[in-house]
Amino acid sequence: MSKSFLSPLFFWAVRDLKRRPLESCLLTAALLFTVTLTATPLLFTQAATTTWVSILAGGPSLVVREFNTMGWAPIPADESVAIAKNVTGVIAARARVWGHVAGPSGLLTVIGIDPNRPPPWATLIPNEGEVAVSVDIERDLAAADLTVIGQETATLKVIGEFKAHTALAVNKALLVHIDNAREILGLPSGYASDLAIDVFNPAEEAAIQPDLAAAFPRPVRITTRTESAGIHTAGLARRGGVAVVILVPALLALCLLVTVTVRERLGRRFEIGLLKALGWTTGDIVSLQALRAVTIGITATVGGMFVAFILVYHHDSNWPGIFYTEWQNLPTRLSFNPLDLALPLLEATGLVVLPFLVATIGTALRCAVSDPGEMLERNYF
Amino acid sequence: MKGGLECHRLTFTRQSPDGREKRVLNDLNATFFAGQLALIAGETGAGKSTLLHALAGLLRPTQGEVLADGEPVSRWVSAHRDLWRRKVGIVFQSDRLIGDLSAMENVFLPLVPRGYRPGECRRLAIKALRRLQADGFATEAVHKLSGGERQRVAIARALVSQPSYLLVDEPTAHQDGNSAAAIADTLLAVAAAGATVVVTAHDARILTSGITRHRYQLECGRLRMKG
Amino acid sequence: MPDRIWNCKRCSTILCLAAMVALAFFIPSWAAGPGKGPTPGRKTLDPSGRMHIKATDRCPVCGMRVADYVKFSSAIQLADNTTHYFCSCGCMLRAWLYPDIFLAAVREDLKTPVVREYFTGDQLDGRTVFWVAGSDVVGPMGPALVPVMGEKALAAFKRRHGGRTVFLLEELDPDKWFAITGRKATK
Repeated sequence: MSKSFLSPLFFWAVRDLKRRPLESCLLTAALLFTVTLTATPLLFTQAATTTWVSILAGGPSLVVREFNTMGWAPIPADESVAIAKNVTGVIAARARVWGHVAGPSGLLTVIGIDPNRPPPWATLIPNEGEVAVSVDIERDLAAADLTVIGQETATLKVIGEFKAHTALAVNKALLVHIDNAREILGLPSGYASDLAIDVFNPAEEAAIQPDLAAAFPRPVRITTRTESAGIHTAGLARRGGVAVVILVPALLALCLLVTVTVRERLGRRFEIGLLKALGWTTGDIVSLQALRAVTIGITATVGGMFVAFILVYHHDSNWPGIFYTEWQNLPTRLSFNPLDLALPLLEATGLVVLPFLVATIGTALRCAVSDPGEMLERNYF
Repeated sequence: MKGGLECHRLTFTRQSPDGREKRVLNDLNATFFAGQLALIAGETGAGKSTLLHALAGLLRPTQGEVLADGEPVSRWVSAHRDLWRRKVGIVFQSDRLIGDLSAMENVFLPLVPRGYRPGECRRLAIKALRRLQADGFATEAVHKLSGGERQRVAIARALVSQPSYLLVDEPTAHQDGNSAAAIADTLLAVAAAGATVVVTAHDARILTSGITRHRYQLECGRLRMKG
Repeated sequence: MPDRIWNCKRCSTILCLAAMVALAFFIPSWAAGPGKGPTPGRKTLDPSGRMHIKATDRCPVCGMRVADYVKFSSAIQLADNTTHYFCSCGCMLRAWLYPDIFLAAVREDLKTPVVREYFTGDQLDGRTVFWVAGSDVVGPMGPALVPVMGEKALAAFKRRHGGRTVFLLEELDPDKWFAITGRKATK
């Protein structure tokens, strides 16, 4: 007798699946669907978190805002930049003009651009009276102008839209000339909304705060990149956690699958009895059922994860953004990190595939230890 | 003569549908030697199949024991009995084939857990089918075969693993005269090769064929030697 | 190893695969080979003295990939202009103390130590900065030896991160190293 490298039981398991092709396909499809439902929310949360962190890595290390008894206050631009640059450890400081205003369909984010010192990410540089918009702003596409209502109402000429792949980082954003921004936001001339500061060493983000705060003559609130990342990722995780509510019908579907599987296994007691009569041991029968279940499980897991991957990462896939956040009509292009697949894969395997395997193997074990004569004579079908 | 299978005070009781207990085998003692073919006759419902199932270790006796080569296999835990059953080839009264599998697949079922490669399983199955002149429909699904063809497939399945103990229940029930004779010759050849062969039948052709002088009658749950 | 494991085709194949994977992890550390000495960086310092670290450059003291720790990286340029890159200033200082052990070079071959100033990231000559030991700053190899430029930066660093010892590179010798770190530089 020549031994095969792969157990012959594996080939028989595949043959056994082919005996009832429709059932096998339906079972695999149902399991695949459940894996997709389970993995997608978590995969999106992981992907969005990774993307957010990588975007923030390109942002400032710290943001300084002044506040008074009325709340947030404008910060004198040049004076604050000079104060910040004088603090040991600050390698760059820039004043930013931005804020929220009302637009045609809700709150908009206005960002002021100084044409003499445009940020490196700005591909469209508006002049006075012009605006570049993000793709998700609802407007009359035929109209050349956009009216913005802030402290002042401004009607600006639209010069273009941001590229779609920047849409994840900007939400209903307008790029305007810095002077227009100040007018719309009600900022006095020479003032800014906040100060963006860069340090070289990440450890300085926390350590520099006391010296930085002490350098300013007025009270300031300093937010680090780590804090911002934490706030955003916590928000995403919260939304992802709420989205887990979707899992409830998925898990109900899984219970149904497991019940059907158990019933089907029990209905094959006759076959199990016959196999035992032909010299199959309990271990062989359980191995066969395990291989069947593992084949289905692996197919469903790989297929389900693939579908989840496409749903989340495909460049035209905007439904996760719509579903999980308040973003509307926003194509999200998420950064892919292979490690992000690990947790959803673990969750899908643990929540979906493992109970299925346990149900199948457990039932097989229960049947296989019975006396074969009884199983043959009762003749279950 | 070395004892192949022995029954010591073998008793088996069933529950009838009305809840009463019926003793199918009653304190049965018998020895079936290796290298011999034993033929057991009896009326319908006498317990021939039950005796065969008990000898094959498919049923646990209510009392008494079954010994194989002196080992009390009926008292073993099911894990050990499962392994011992690899030495047993059994042909059921109603063939007990898996209908949606082909004849060849049914025949090599006993070989699958023993680690044979798929190609070797097919080769041995075809060889066993050829022995029963059943290789012509090896690839046909069993549910498409006639009763006689299915019976030959069932016998081939019992023979494929070259068992040390061959237990056959009504091997010629659906066969014509020539096929019945061929099957009888096959069973004799297996016995001559050293296996313990036990055949139950009430087919007159096999009972009067004189293929063996080790003949028994099963009556009232006990075996009585005939002839 | 029991015979039955070697005789089992499946088990022996799996064992061989596992051995190959384990070897693959350790091969990089064998790359230099015995007697070949440490491999200098693929690219030397540019004329302005700036480091050019490649993905394959490894620290000759600890073997870690320098590109993974750019903010803490440092370098020593030798007289023949070959440059060794280090994952941290601690490793660079150990090589500076014992060039024969870590760089297969003599002391006279040492030309320029290049470090990144802690606050600005500027690449400076390590002989022109203050070195601070015993602060709360953690580098790739644990508690970091931090280079800072100027008295103002030094005062700010000590105020924010502490620091038990301040020294200049010219003051560093094996005894000083032992006093600072509690370990020998060769270990």
